[in-house]
Amino acid sequence: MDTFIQVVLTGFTIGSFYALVALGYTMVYGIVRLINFAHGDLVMVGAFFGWALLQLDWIEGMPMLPRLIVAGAGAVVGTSLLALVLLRTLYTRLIGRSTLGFMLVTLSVAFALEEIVKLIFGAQQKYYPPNDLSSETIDIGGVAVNGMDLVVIGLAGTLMVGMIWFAHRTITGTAMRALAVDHDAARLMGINVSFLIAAAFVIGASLAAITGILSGTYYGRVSFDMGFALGLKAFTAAVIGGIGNIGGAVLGGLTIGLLEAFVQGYLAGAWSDAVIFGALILVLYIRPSGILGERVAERA
Amino acid sequence: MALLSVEDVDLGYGELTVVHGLTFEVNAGEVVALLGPNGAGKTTTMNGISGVLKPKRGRIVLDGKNLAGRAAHHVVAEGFRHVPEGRRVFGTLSVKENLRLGAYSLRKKPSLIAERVKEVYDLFPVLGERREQLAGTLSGGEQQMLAVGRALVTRPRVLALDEPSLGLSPRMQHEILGVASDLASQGTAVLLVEQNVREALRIADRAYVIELGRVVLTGTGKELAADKRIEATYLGGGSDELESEAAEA
Repeated sequence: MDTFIQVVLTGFTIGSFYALVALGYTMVYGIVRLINFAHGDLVMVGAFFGWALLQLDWIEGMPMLPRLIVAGAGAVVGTSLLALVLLRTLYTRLIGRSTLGFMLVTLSVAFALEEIVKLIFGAQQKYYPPNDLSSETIDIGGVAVNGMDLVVIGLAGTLMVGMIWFAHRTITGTAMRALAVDHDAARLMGINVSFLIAAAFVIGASLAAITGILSGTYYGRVSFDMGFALGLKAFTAAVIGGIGNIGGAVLGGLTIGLLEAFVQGYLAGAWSDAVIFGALILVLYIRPSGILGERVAERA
Repeated sequence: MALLSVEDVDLGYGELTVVHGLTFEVNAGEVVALLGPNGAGKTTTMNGISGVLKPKRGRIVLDGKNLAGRAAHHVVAEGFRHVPEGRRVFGTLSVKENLRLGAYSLRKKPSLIAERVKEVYDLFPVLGERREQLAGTLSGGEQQMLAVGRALVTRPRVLALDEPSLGLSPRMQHEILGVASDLASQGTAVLLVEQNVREALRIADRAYVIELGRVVLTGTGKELAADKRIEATYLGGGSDELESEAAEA
């Protein structure tokens, strides 16, 4: 029973990482119908921004929590600015003009970001400072639970609920869903389309940076190549959930995290990719548009 | 001084120019119809005013301000609302969400949005009954009401309707054009592109006939309805009735 509960917790933790990254893929796809393959590497960039900030002298004396918050805020701002610069300089001219061009450019940016970080910081893993929660277990109803699992699940869960609320309960979120249907009609509503595209990139980059910091804190280490596989699995999560759908990204991310945890806990870690991509094929075979994918006619 | 004046405007796509030196005006409280065959440039003109398409030349002046080349969201904020051909409602969003998005330029004032959305429910009660329904599940006539309602939530000074009666039953055509006529009598300037020329001329104070991107004829609704050239080209042979019947089916 203890193993089962720990596996479920780990599943939700890994799933939270996938879900937060999947939200970025799905928001951008929802608005411009394109996949940003550099998105996974923004997690890595965020993790390195955070690592670099944690090394600063003036921040080192602080207690762990404020230290992480300052580093996290810096990582969010830095990663968002990077995403905005990439959008303005490289992506904007391709959106709506060349689907293949956009995908190839984002793929190139993914590799470029990895190489640049490797040149600056080296190929070795970098270690996040240890924190009390990772080493401590909390006793909940007789089960020993890792404190960091609860932190990740709590923070990510809040962000996921916040994103679903944003998409459905705010007028800006509603406008973003309208952009999935018809850009020109949205313009005629008075919606500033290029501003909302930028906003979607910034929100996605912020969630990626938070994932980077959380992952660095949770695993204790980061490396220049941590983003690509994570990004690919998060993209899979977004597709399984129904790409373009905010709730679908959350559902897909948690599904993949739980699958991975159960395979690692009861089978063997080596099987987890086979099971995850097998699940992708199965879901798409049964529901080509994903679990929560759009089924309603967009225009009558 | 007209409320909206389009002065010597060229419009087109890339190298191609579709509208050449177009000049016309619309006054407050007036219904002005743009007539002409398919491809004459009527929809292009609407897109050019609303900022979906940038004019290559000329001025578009609304109440003294030149809107030519300004982004669509600025044009909406200045009081020009364009209801596009084919209605273009957001099918995957609810009726209420569509109406709230229509008031996007008022997003800093949520209570005003709620008030304006309620006014649309008063004007079109069927939309109020179906407020939680997805817009894609509405009938064609209801979608047209939603498309018009989505523009009215900002109380536009100029309302541009592109083919509002296309594909609707004669009863629904009559209702939608009646709403346009009522809005004009309350002071809104209405710019109307309409395939049902007989109905359009019945409610229009003035009309411009456009062919190949140029104004070829202009006059009051009554004058044009009696004009032999209009009669022959647009009103002859009872083809309207046939079209209406086809639309109803």
